Amino acid sequence: MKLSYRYLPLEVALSEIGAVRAGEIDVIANLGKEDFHLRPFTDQGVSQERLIEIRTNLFSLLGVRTDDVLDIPSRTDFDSIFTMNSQLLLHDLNPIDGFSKDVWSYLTLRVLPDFALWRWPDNAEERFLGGAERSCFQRLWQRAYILGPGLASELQEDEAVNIFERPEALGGNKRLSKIFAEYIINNRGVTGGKSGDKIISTKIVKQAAKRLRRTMSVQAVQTMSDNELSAHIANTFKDAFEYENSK
Amino acid sequence: MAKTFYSLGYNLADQFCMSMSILSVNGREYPSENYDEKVLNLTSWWTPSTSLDISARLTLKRSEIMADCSLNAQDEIFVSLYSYCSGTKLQHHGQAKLLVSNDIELELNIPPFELAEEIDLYALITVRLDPAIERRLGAPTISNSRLLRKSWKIALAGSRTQANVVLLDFSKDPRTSKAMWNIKISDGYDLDSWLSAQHSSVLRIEVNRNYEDYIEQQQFKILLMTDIVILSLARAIADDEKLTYLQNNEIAEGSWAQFVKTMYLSVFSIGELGVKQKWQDNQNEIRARVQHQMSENLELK
Repeated sequence: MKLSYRYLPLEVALSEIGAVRAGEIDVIANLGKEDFHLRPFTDQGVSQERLIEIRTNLFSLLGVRTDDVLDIPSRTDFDSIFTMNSQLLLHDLNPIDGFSKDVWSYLTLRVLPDFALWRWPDNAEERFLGGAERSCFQRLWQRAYILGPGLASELQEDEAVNIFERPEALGGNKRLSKIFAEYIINNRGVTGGKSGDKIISTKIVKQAAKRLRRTMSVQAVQTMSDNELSAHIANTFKDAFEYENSK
Repeated sequence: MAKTFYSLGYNLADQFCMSMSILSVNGREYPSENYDEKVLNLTSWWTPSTSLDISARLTLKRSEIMADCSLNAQDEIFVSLYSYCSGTKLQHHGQAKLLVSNDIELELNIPPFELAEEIDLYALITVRLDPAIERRLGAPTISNSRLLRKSWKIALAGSRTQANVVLLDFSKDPRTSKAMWNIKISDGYDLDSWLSAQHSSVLRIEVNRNYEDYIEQQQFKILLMTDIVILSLARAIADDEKLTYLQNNEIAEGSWAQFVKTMYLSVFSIGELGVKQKWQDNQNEIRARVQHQMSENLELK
Protein backbone atom coordinates (compact mmCIF):
# COMPACT_ATOMS: atom_id res chain seq x y z
CA MET A 1 0.00 0.00 0.00
CA LYS A 2 1.56 3.28 -1.12
CA LEU A 3 -0.13 5.45 1.48
CA SER A 4 1.11 8.98 2.04
CA TYR A 5 0.84 10.98 5.21
CA ARG A 6 0.13 14.69 4.90
CA TYR A 7 3.01 17.09 4.28
CA LEU A 8 2.76 20.59 5.74
CA PRO A 9 5.24 22.97 4.06
CA LEU A 10 7.46 24.95 6.40
CA GLU A 11 5.99 28.32 5.46
CA VAL A 12 2.46 27.12 6.32
CA ALA A 13 3.68 25.55 9.55
CA LEU A 14 5.42 28.76 10.56
CA SER A 15 2.33 30.81 9.81
CA GLU A 16 0.18 28.91 12.28
CA ILE A 17 2.70 27.94 14.93
CA GLY A 18 1.98 31.09 16.94
CA ALA A 19 -1.71 30.27 17.29
CA VAL A 20 -0.99 26.73 18.45
CA ARG A 21 1.60 27.91 20.95
CA ALA A 22 -0.97 30.36 22.27
CA GLY A 23 -3.35 27.47 22.83
CA GLU A 24 -5.73 28.20 19.94
CA ILE A 25 -6.44 24.61 18.95
CA ASP A 26 -9.30 23.24 16.85
CA VAL A 27 -8.19 19.83 15.61
CA ILE A 28 -11.29 18.96 13.57
CA ALA A 29 -11.32 22.30 11.75
CA ASN A 30 -7.59 22.08 11.06
CA LEU A 31 -7.85 18.54 9.69
CA GLY A 32 -10.36 19.84 7.15
CA LYS A 33 -7.89 22.32 5.65
CA GLU A 34 -6.55 21.30 2.25
CA ASP A 35 -3.29 23.24 2.18
CA PHE A 36 -1.15 20.14 2.77
CA HIS A 37 0.26 17.97 0.00
CA LEU A 38 0.99 14.30 -0.43
CA ARG A 39 4.15 12.47 -1.38
CA PRO A 40 4.24 11.87 -5.13
CA PHE A 41 3.63 8.34 -6.45
CA THR A 42 1.15 7.39 -3.77
CA ASP A 43 -2.04 5.38 -4.07
CA GLN A 44 -3.88 7.40 -1.46
CA GLY A 45 -3.50 9.90 1.34
CA VAL A 46 -4.04 9.17 4.99
CA SER A 47 -7.67 9.82 5.89
CA GLN A 48 -9.01 12.27 8.43
CA GLU A 49 -10.61 9.34 10.29
CA ARG A 50 -7.25 7.61 10.59
CA LEU A 51 -5.62 10.79 11.94
CA ILE A 52 -8.34 11.10 14.56
CA GLU A 53 -7.78 7.45 15.42
CA ILE A 54 -4.12 8.22 16.10
CA ARG A 55 -5.22 10.88 18.62
CA THR A 56 -7.69 8.54 20.26
CA ASN A 57 -5.15 5.73 20.46
CA LEU A 58 -2.57 8.03 22.01
CA PHE A 59 -5.04 9.07 24.71
CA SER A 60 -5.80 5.39 25.40
CA LEU A 61 -2.12 4.59 25.53
CA LEU A 62 -1.66 7.23 28.22
CA GLY A 63 -4.59 5.84 30.19
CA VAL A 64 -6.89 8.80 29.60
CA ARG A 65 -10.56 8.25 28.74
CA THR A 66 -11.33 11.87 27.88
CA ASP A 67 -9.80 13.89 25.06
CA ASP A 68 -8.19 16.40 27.37
CA VAL A 69 -4.43 16.29 27.74
CA LEU A 70 -4.75 17.87 31.18
CA ASP A 71 -6.14 14.54 32.38
CA ILE A 72 -2.88 12.77 31.56
CA PRO A 73 -1.42 11.95 34.97
CA SER A 74 2.22 12.84 34.34
CA ARG A 75 4.48 14.03 31.57
CA THR A 76 7.52 12.34 33.09
CA ASP A 77 7.19 9.09 31.16
CA PHE A 78 5.59 10.48 28.01
CA ASP A 79 8.71 10.31 25.81
CA SER A 80 9.43 6.76 26.84
CA ILE A 81 5.82 5.64 26.29
CA PHE A 82 5.61 7.34 22.89
CA THR A 83 8.96 5.90 21.79
CA MET A 84 7.96 2.41 22.90
CA ASN A 85 4.65 2.57 21.02
CA SER A 86 5.30 4.93 18.10
CA GLN A 87 5.79 2.18 15.50
CA LEU A 88 2.51 0.56 16.52
CA LEU A 89 0.64 3.84 16.85
CA LEU A 90 1.79 4.92 13.37
CA HIS A 91 1.91 1.45 11.83
CA ASP A 92 0.97 2.75 8.37
CA LEU A 93 3.60 5.51 8.31
CA ASN A 94 6.22 4.64 5.68
CA PRO A 95 9.80 5.44 6.70
CA ILE A 96 10.16 7.95 3.86
CA ASP A 97 7.26 9.91 5.39
CA GLY A 98 8.60 9.32 8.88
CA PHE A 99 11.91 10.96 7.94
CA SER A 100 10.17 14.03 6.51
CA LYS A 101 10.02 17.15 8.63
CA ASP A 102 6.87 18.31 6.80
CA VAL A 103 4.96 15.19 7.85
CA TRP A 104 5.83 15.73 11.50
CA SER A 105 4.97 19.41 11.29
CA TYR A 106 1.52 18.32 10.13
CA LEU A 107 1.16 15.66 12.83
CA THR A 108 2.32 18.05 15.53
CA LEU A 109 0.41 21.18 14.52
CA ARG A 110 -2.75 19.63 13.08
CA VAL A 111 -3.22 16.21 14.72
CA LEU A 112 -1.54 16.32 18.13
CA PRO A 113 -1.04 20.03 18.92
CA ASP A 114 -2.47 19.78 22.44
CA PHE A 115 -0.04 16.97 23.28
CA ALA A 116 2.92 19.01 22.07
CA LEU A 117 1.77 22.06 24.02
CA TRP A 118 1.27 19.98 27.17
CA ARG A 119 4.57 18.10 26.78
CA TRP A 120 6.62 21.25 26.18
CA PRO A 121 5.16 24.00 28.33
CA ASP A 122 8.34 26.00 27.78
CA ASN A 123 6.82 26.47 24.31
CA ALA A 124 9.97 26.41 22.15
CA GLU A 125 9.08 26.78 18.47
CA GLU A 126 11.14 23.84 17.20
CA ARG A 127 9.12 21.43 19.37
CA PHE A 128 6.13 22.05 17.08
CA LEU A 129 7.97 21.50 13.79
CA GLY A 130 9.42 18.35 12.30
CA GLY A 131 13.09 17.63 13.00
CA ALA A 132 15.33 14.80 14.13
CA GLU A 133 16.74 16.53 17.21
CA ARG A 134 14.20 18.86 18.87
CA SER A 135 10.81 17.91 17.45
CA CYS A 136 8.25 16.79 20.04
CA PHE A 137 7.45 13.55 18.21
CA GLN A 138 9.73 12.98 15.21
CA ARG A 139 12.88 12.50 17.24
CA LEU A 140 11.18 9.78 19.28
CA TRP A 141 9.73 7.98 16.22
CA GLN A 142 13.12 8.08 14.46
CA ARG A 143 14.95 6.61 17.45
CA ALA A 144 12.42 3.79 17.65
CA TYR A 145 12.70 3.13 13.92
CA ILE A 146 16.51 2.97 13.93
CA LEU A 147 17.16 1.28 17.26
CA GLY A 148 13.92 -0.60 17.80
CA PRO A 149 11.32 0.58 20.33
CA GLY A 150 12.71 -1.32 23.35
CA LEU A 151 16.26 -0.08 23.03
CA ALA A 152 15.25 3.46 22.06
CA SER A 153 12.86 3.88 24.97
CA GLU A 154 15.59 2.98 27.47
CA LEU A 155 17.97 5.70 26.33
CA GLN A 156 18.05 8.98 28.17
CA GLU A 157 17.51 12.13 26.14
CA ASP A 158 21.11 13.35 26.10
CA GLU A 159 22.37 9.85 25.26
CA ALA A 160 20.02 9.63 22.28
CA VAL A 161 20.97 13.13 21.16
CA ASN A 162 24.63 12.11 21.05
CA ILE A 163 23.75 9.35 18.60
CA PHE A 164 21.26 11.17 16.40
CA GLU A 165 22.98 14.54 16.13
CA ARG A 166 25.61 12.68 14.07
CA PRO A 167 23.36 11.14 11.40
CA GLU A 168 25.95 10.47 8.72
CA ALA A 169 28.46 8.86 11.04
CA LEU A 170 26.34 7.26 13.71
CA GLY A 171 22.57 7.84 13.76
CA GLY A 172 22.00 6.73 10.15
CA ASN A 173 23.96 3.52 10.61
CA LYS A 174 21.47 1.13 12.19
CA ARG A 175 23.94 -1.61 13.12
CA LEU A 176 26.47 0.77 14.66
CA SER A 177 23.95 2.89 16.55
CA LYS A 178 22.26 -0.22 17.97
CA ILE A 179 25.54 -1.62 19.29
CA PHE A 180 26.43 1.82 20.69
CA ALA A 181 23.05 2.10 22.44
CA GLU A 182 23.23 -1.48 23.74
CA TYR A 183 26.60 -0.75 25.29
CA ILE A 184 25.15 2.24 27.14
CA ILE A 185 22.16 0.33 28.44
CA ASN A 186 24.05 -2.85 29.35
CA ASN A 187 26.67 -0.91 31.30
CA ARG A 188 24.54 1.62 33.11
CA GLY A 189 25.42 1.32 36.78
CA VAL A 190 28.67 -0.54 36.14
CA THR A 191 31.65 1.05 37.87
CA GLY A 192 35.29 0.98 36.88
CA GLY A 193 38.78 2.33 37.39
CA LYS A 194 40.43 3.24 40.66
CA SER A 195 37.83 5.89 41.33
CA GLY A 196 34.94 3.42 41.21
CA ASP A 197 32.95 5.88 39.11
CA LYS A 198 30.19 4.74 36.80
CA ILE A 199 31.49 3.92 33.33
CA ILE A 200 28.41 5.45 31.69
CA SER A 201 27.57 9.11 32.18
CA THR A 202 26.44 11.98 29.98
CA LYS A 203 30.02 13.21 29.62
CA ILE A 204 31.38 9.77 28.81
CA VAL A 205 28.71 9.06 26.19
CA LYS A 206 29.44 12.39 24.54
CA GLN A 207 33.18 11.77 24.67
CA ALA A 208 32.71 8.25 23.24
CA ALA A 209 30.55 9.51 20.36
CA LYS A 210 33.19 12.11 19.49
CA ARG A 211 36.00 9.56 19.69
CA LEU A 212 34.07 7.06 17.59
CA ARG A 213 33.54 9.73 14.95
CA ARG A 214 37.26 10.50 14.92
CA THR A 215 38.33 6.86 14.54
CA MET A 216 36.13 6.59 11.46
CA SER A 217 38.57 8.65 9.45
CA VAL A 218 40.89 5.65 9.73
CA GLN A 219 38.76 2.61 10.44
CA ALA A 220 35.74 1.66 8.33
CA VAL A 221 32.92 0.57 10.62
CA GLN A 222 30.85 -0.42 7.58
CA THR A 223 32.98 -3.50 6.96
CA MET A 224 33.36 -4.65 10.56
CA SER A 225 31.58 -7.79 11.73
CA ASP A 226 29.20 -7.49 14.71
CA ASN A 227 31.89 -8.87 17.03
CA GLU A 228 34.47 -6.42 15.72
CA LEU A 229 32.02 -3.55 16.09
CA SER A 230 31.18 -4.53 19.66
CA ALA A 231 34.88 -4.68 20.56
CA HIS A 232 35.49 -1.34 18.82
CA ILE A 233 32.65 0.34 20.74
CA ALA A 234 33.81 -1.17 24.05
CA ASN A 235 37.36 0.11 23.46
CA THR A 236 36.05 3.55 22.55
CA PHE A 237 34.01 3.77 25.76
CA LYS A 238 36.98 2.51 27.77
CA ASP A 239 39.19 5.25 26.33
CA ALA A 240 36.47 7.86 26.91
CA PHE A 241 36.10 6.75 30.56
CA GLU A 242 39.85 6.90 31.17
CA TYR A 243 40.07 10.32 29.54
CA GLU A 244 37.23 11.79 31.58
CA ASN A 245 38.63 10.23 34.77
CA SER A 246 42.08 11.63 34.15
CA LYS A 247 40.83 15.24 34.07
CA MET B 1 54.60 8.53 -12.27
CA ALA B 2 55.01 10.24 -8.91
CA LYS B 3 52.10 9.65 -6.59
CA THR B 4 50.53 11.84 -3.98
CA PHE B 5 49.80 10.15 -0.68
CA TYR B 6 47.29 11.58 1.75
CA SER B 7 48.40 10.41 5.12
CA LEU B 8 46.30 9.24 8.04
CA GLY B 9 49.47 7.95 9.64
CA TYR B 10 49.77 5.40 6.86
CA ASN B 11 49.71 5.44 3.09
CA LEU B 12 46.40 5.47 1.29
CA ALA B 13 45.97 3.91 -2.13
CA ASP B 14 45.85 6.11 -5.19
CA GLN B 15 42.39 7.13 -6.49
CA PHE B 16 43.20 5.56 -9.86
CA CYS B 17 43.59 2.15 -8.26
CA MET B 18 39.81 1.68 -8.32
CA SER B 19 37.29 2.39 -11.07
CA MET B 20 33.74 1.39 -11.76
CA SER B 21 33.46 -0.70 -14.91
CA ILE B 22 29.82 -1.83 -14.87
CA LEU B 23 26.92 -0.53 -12.83
CA SER B 24 23.43 -1.92 -12.97
CA VAL B 25 20.37 -1.08 -10.90
CA ASN B 26 17.40 -3.45 -10.70
CA GLY B 27 18.70 -5.32 -13.74
CA ARG B 28 19.13 -2.21 -15.90
CA GLU B 29 22.67 -1.59 -16.97
CA TYR B 30 23.92 1.99 -17.01
CA PRO B 31 26.98 1.97 -19.27
CA SER B 32 29.48 4.80 -19.03
CA GLU B 33 32.96 5.55 -20.27
CA ASN B 34 33.72 7.30 -17.01
CA TYR B 35 31.41 6.78 -14.06
CA ASP B 36 33.42 9.27 -11.99
CA GLU B 37 32.10 12.14 -14.10
CA LYS B 38 28.51 11.03 -14.32
CA VAL B 39 25.48 11.35 -12.05
CA LEU B 40 23.41 8.25 -12.53
CA ASN B 41 19.82 9.33 -13.05
CA LEU B 42 16.99 7.02 -12.05
CA THR B 43 14.31 9.69 -11.93
CA SER B 44 12.37 8.28 -14.90
CA TRP B 45 11.41 5.07 -13.11
CA TRP B 46 12.37 5.21 -9.43
CA THR B 47 9.65 5.70 -6.84
CA PRO B 48 9.94 5.47 -3.04
CA SER B 49 8.25 2.04 -3.03
CA THR B 50 11.01 0.62 -5.23
CA SER B 51 13.51 -1.72 -3.64
CA LEU B 52 16.96 -1.06 -5.15
CA ASP B 53 19.31 -3.89 -6.13
CA ILE B 54 22.61 -2.32 -7.10
CA SER B 55 25.29 -4.44 -8.77
CA ALA B 56 28.71 -3.02 -9.49
CA ARG B 57 31.79 -4.45 -11.10
CA LEU B 58 34.92 -2.66 -9.96
CA THR B 59 38.32 -2.83 -11.56
CA LEU B 60 41.18 -2.54 -9.10
CA LYS B 61 44.94 -2.47 -9.32
CA ARG B 62 45.58 -4.96 -6.59
CA SER B 63 49.39 -5.06 -6.80
CA GLU B 64 49.58 -1.25 -6.77
CA ILE B 65 47.32 -1.05 -3.71
CA MET B 66 49.56 -3.59 -1.96
CA ALA B 67 52.65 -1.57 -2.87
CA ASP B 68 51.15 1.88 -2.17
CA CYS B 69 50.00 0.85 1.29
CA SER B 70 53.12 -1.17 2.14
CA LEU B 71 51.06 -4.30 2.76
CA ASN B 72 52.50 -7.77 3.24
CA ALA B 73 51.50 -10.61 0.95
CA GLN B 74 49.55 -12.23 3.80
CA ASP B 75 47.37 -9.16 4.41
CA GLU B 76 43.86 -9.42 3.00
CA ILE B 77 42.14 -6.66 1.04
CA PHE B 78 38.37 -6.36 1.25
CA VAL B 79 36.05 -4.31 -0.91
CA SER B 80 32.48 -3.34 -0.09
CA LEU B 81 29.63 -1.12 -1.20
CA TYR B 82 27.55 1.08 1.01
CA SER B 83 25.24 4.01 0.49
CA TYR B 84 24.22 7.15 2.34
CA CYS B 85 20.97 8.90 1.58
CA SER B 86 20.88 12.58 2.52
CA GLY B 87 17.07 12.58 2.24
CA THR B 88 16.45 10.00 4.95
CA LYS B 89 19.94 10.12 6.50
CA LEU B 90 20.17 6.33 6.38
CA GLN B 91 23.14 4.16 5.48
CA HIS B 92 22.82 0.77 3.79
CA HIS B 93 25.67 -1.70 3.71
CA GLY B 94 26.62 -4.48 1.34
CA GLN B 95 28.72 -7.51 2.18
CA ALA B 96 32.49 -6.97 2.14
CA LYS B 97 34.26 -9.30 -0.30
CA LEU B 98 37.85 -10.49 -0.34
CA LEU B 99 39.80 -9.14 -3.33
CA VAL B 100 41.67 -11.95 -5.05
CA SER B 101 42.10 -10.56 -8.56
CA ASN B 102 41.80 -7.18 -10.26
CA ASP B 103 38.02 -7.40 -10.70
CA ILE B 104 35.30 -7.76 -8.16
CA GLU B 105 31.53 -7.83 -8.31
CA LEU B 106 29.61 -6.32 -5.43
CA GLU B 107 25.97 -6.01 -4.54
CA LEU B 108 23.90 -3.75 -2.37
CA ASN B 109 20.23 -4.06 -1.59
CA ILE B 110 18.21 -1.14 -0.27
CA PRO B 111 14.67 -1.80 0.99
CA PRO B 112 11.69 0.29 -0.17
CA PHE B 113 10.64 3.55 1.49
CA GLU B 114 14.11 4.21 2.98
CA LEU B 115 15.40 6.54 0.28
CA ALA B 116 14.55 10.03 -0.90
CA GLU B 117 15.99 12.49 -3.38
CA GLU B 118 19.46 11.05 -4.00
CA ILE B 119 22.06 8.67 -2.67
CA ASP B 120 25.82 8.60 -2.55
CA LEU B 121 27.10 5.15 -3.45
CA TYR B 122 30.47 4.39 -1.86
CA ALA B 123 33.01 1.69 -2.66
CA LEU B 124 35.41 1.09 0.15
CA ILE B 125 38.71 -0.78 0.25
CA THR B 126 39.82 -1.97 3.67
CA VAL B 127 42.52 -4.30 4.94
CA ARG B 128 42.59 -7.19 7.37
CA LEU B 129 46.06 -7.48 8.78
CA ASP B 130 47.91 -10.58 9.85
CA PRO B 131 48.77 -9.72 13.48
CA ALA B 132 51.76 -12.05 13.48
CA ILE B 133 53.67 -9.99 10.93
CA GLU B 134 55.56 -6.84 11.74
CA ARG B 135 54.24 -3.77 9.93
CA ARG B 136 56.35 -2.03 7.34
CA LEU B 137 56.88 1.73 7.25
CA GLY B 138 53.79 3.44 5.81
CA ALA B 139 51.52 0.47 6.37
CA PRO B 140 48.26 0.70 8.33
CA THR B 141 48.48 -0.76 11.81
CA ILE B 142 44.86 -1.64 12.54
CA SER B 143 42.55 -4.03 10.73
CA ASN B 144 39.62 -2.42 8.89
CA SER B 145 41.77 0.59 8.10
CA ARG B 146 40.40 2.41 5.11
CA LEU B 147 42.77 2.27 2.14
CA LEU B 148 40.60 3.99 -0.43
CA ARG B 149 37.05 5.24 -0.76
CA LYS B 150 35.30 6.51 -3.85
CA SER B 151 31.75 7.67 -4.32
CA TRP B 152 29.23 8.16 -7.11
CA LYS B 153 26.01 10.11 -6.96
CA ILE B 154 22.69 8.54 -7.92
CA ALA B 155 19.77 10.91 -8.47
CA LEU B 156 16.40 9.53 -7.43
CA ALA B 157 13.39 11.78 -7.10
CA GLY B 158 12.18 13.83 -4.20
CA SER B 159 11.46 17.32 -3.07
CA ARG B 160 14.28 18.66 -5.18
CA THR B 161 12.93 17.19 -8.37
CA GLN B 162 9.23 16.79 -7.74
CA ALA B 163 6.20 18.93 -7.37
CA ASN B 164 3.82 19.07 -4.48
CA VAL B 165 0.91 16.84 -5.40
CA VAL B 166 -2.41 17.09 -3.67
CA LEU B 167 -5.76 15.39 -4.26
CA LEU B 168 -8.68 17.81 -3.98
CA ASP B 169 -12.43 17.87 -4.31
CA PHE B 170 -13.06 19.83 -7.53
CA SER B 171 -16.86 19.58 -7.34
CA LYS B 172 -17.25 22.81 -5.36
CA ASP B 173 -16.36 24.95 -8.37
CA PRO B 174 -18.54 24.26 -11.45
CA ARG B 175 -15.90 25.81 -13.73
CA THR B 176 -13.34 23.17 -12.80
CA SER B 177 -15.45 20.26 -11.62
CA LYS B 178 -14.69 18.18 -14.73
CA ALA B 179 -11.00 19.08 -14.90
CA MET B 180 -8.53 16.28 -14.19
CA TRP B 181 -5.85 18.50 -12.71
CA ASN B 182 -4.86 22.04 -12.05
CA ILE B 183 -1.19 22.93 -12.44
CA LYS B 184 0.04 25.87 -10.42
CA ILE B 185 3.44 27.40 -11.12
CA SER B 186 4.64 30.07 -8.71
CA ASP B 187 6.22 32.83 -10.72
CA GLY B 188 6.55 35.28 -7.88
CA TYR B 189 10.29 35.07 -8.01
CA ASP B 190 12.95 37.47 -9.13
CA LEU B 191 15.42 35.92 -11.54
CA ASP B 192 18.01 34.98 -8.89
CA SER B 193 15.41 33.17 -6.77
CA TRP B 194 13.99 31.47 -9.85
CA LEU B 195 17.44 30.21 -10.86
CA SER B 196 17.96 28.58 -7.48
CA ALA B 197 14.40 27.33 -6.80
CA GLN B 198 13.63 23.63 -6.40
CA HIS B 199 10.60 21.96 -7.93
CA SER B 200 8.77 21.70 -4.64
CA SER B 201 8.73 25.45 -4.12
CA VAL B 202 7.53 26.26 -7.65
CA LEU B 203 5.18 23.55 -8.80
CA ARG B 204 1.95 22.41 -7.19
CA ILE B 205 -0.30 19.88 -8.92
CA GLU B 206 -3.87 19.66 -7.73
CA VAL B 207 -5.55 16.48 -8.88
CA ASN B 208 -9.31 16.04 -9.03
CA ARG B 209 -10.13 13.38 -6.46
CA ASN B 210 -12.66 11.86 -8.89
CA TYR B 211 -9.79 10.99 -11.23
CA GLU B 212 -7.43 9.69 -8.57
CA ASP B 213 -7.25 6.26 -10.22
CA TYR B 214 -6.57 7.64 -13.70
CA ILE B 215 -3.59 9.65 -12.60
CA GLU B 216 -1.64 6.48 -11.82
CA GLN B 217 -1.96 5.31 -15.43
CA GLN B 218 0.98 5.99 -17.70
CA GLN B 219 -1.02 7.55 -20.55
CA PHE B 220 -2.46 10.16 -18.19
CA LYS B 221 0.92 10.83 -16.62
CA ILE B 222 2.24 11.62 -20.10
CA LEU B 223 -0.53 14.17 -20.64
CA LEU B 224 0.07 15.67 -17.21
CA MET B 225 3.82 15.94 -17.81
CA THR B 226 3.17 17.48 -21.23
CA ASP B 227 0.91 20.10 -19.67
CA ILE B 228 3.57 20.89 -17.06
CA VAL B 229 6.28 21.31 -19.71
CA ILE B 230 4.15 23.46 -22.01
CA LEU B 231 3.02 25.68 -19.14
CA SER B 232 6.50 26.06 -17.69
CA LEU B 233 7.99 26.90 -21.10
CA ALA B 234 5.23 29.39 -21.86
CA ARG B 235 5.92 31.23 -18.60
CA ALA B 236 9.68 31.26 -19.07
CA ILE B 237 9.64 32.26 -22.74
CA ALA B 238 7.28 35.15 -21.99
CA ASP B 239 9.79 36.55 -19.49
CA ASP B 240 12.76 38.23 -21.19
CA GLU B 241 15.22 37.58 -18.36
CA LYS B 242 14.32 33.91 -18.15
CA LEU B 243 14.44 33.57 -21.92
CA THR B 244 17.96 35.01 -21.87
CA TYR B 245 18.96 32.30 -19.39
CA LEU B 246 17.37 29.62 -21.60
CA GLN B 247 19.28 30.89 -24.61
CA ASN B 248 22.75 30.83 -23.12
CA ASN B 249 25.06 28.09 -21.94
CA GLU B 250 24.83 28.81 -18.23
CA ILE B 251 23.59 26.16 -15.82
CA ALA B 252 21.31 27.15 -12.97
CA GLU B 253 21.64 25.84 -9.43
CA GLY B 254 17.94 25.10 -8.89
CA SER B 255 16.24 21.97 -10.15
CA TRP B 256 13.28 23.91 -11.58
CA ALA B 257 15.34 26.17 -13.87
CA GLN B 258 17.42 23.14 -14.89
CA PHE B 259 14.24 21.28 -15.78
CA VAL B 260 12.85 24.20 -17.80
CA LYS B 261 16.14 24.55 -19.67
CA THR B 262 16.30 20.84 -20.49
CA MET B 263 12.79 21.02 -21.88
CA TYR B 264 13.59 24.23 -23.76
CA LEU B 265 16.56 22.55 -25.42
CA SER B 266 14.36 19.70 -26.57
CA VAL B 267 12.36 22.23 -28.57
CA PHE B 268 14.79 25.05 -29.40
CA SER B 269 18.54 25.38 -29.59
CA ILE B 270 20.96 27.73 -27.85
CA GLY B 271 21.00 31.15 -29.49
CA GLU B 272 18.06 30.40 -31.77
CA LEU B 273 16.40 33.57 -33.08
CA GLY B 274 12.70 34.36 -33.13
CA VAL B 275 11.83 32.00 -30.29
CA LYS B 276 8.80 33.98 -29.07
CA GLN B 277 7.26 34.03 -32.54
CA LYS B 278 8.00 30.36 -33.20
CA TRP B 279 6.47 29.48 -29.84
CA GLN B 280 3.26 31.27 -30.84
CA ASP B 281 3.11 29.90 -34.39
CA ASN B 282 4.01 26.26 -33.78
CA GLN B 283 2.09 25.37 -30.63
CA ASN B 284 0.60 22.13 -32.02
CA GLU B 285 3.91 20.81 -33.33
CA ILE B 286 5.74 21.73 -30.13
CA ARG B 287 3.11 20.06 -27.99
CA ALA B 288 3.27 16.91 -30.11
CA ARG B 289 7.06 16.83 -29.79
CA VAL B 290 6.96 17.31 -26.02
CA GLN B 291 4.29 14.62 -25.65
CA HIS B 292 6.40 12.20 -27.67
CA GLN B 293 9.37 12.97 -25.47
CA MET B 294 7.36 12.48 -22.30
CA SER B 295 6.21 9.06 -23.51
CA GLU B 296 9.87 8.17 -24.09
CA ASN B 297 10.82 9.41 -20.61
CA LEU B 298 8.11 7.29 -19.07
CA GLU B 299 9.15 4.41 -21.30
CA LEU B 300 5.75 3.96 -22.88
CA LYS B 301 6.33 3.51 -26.56
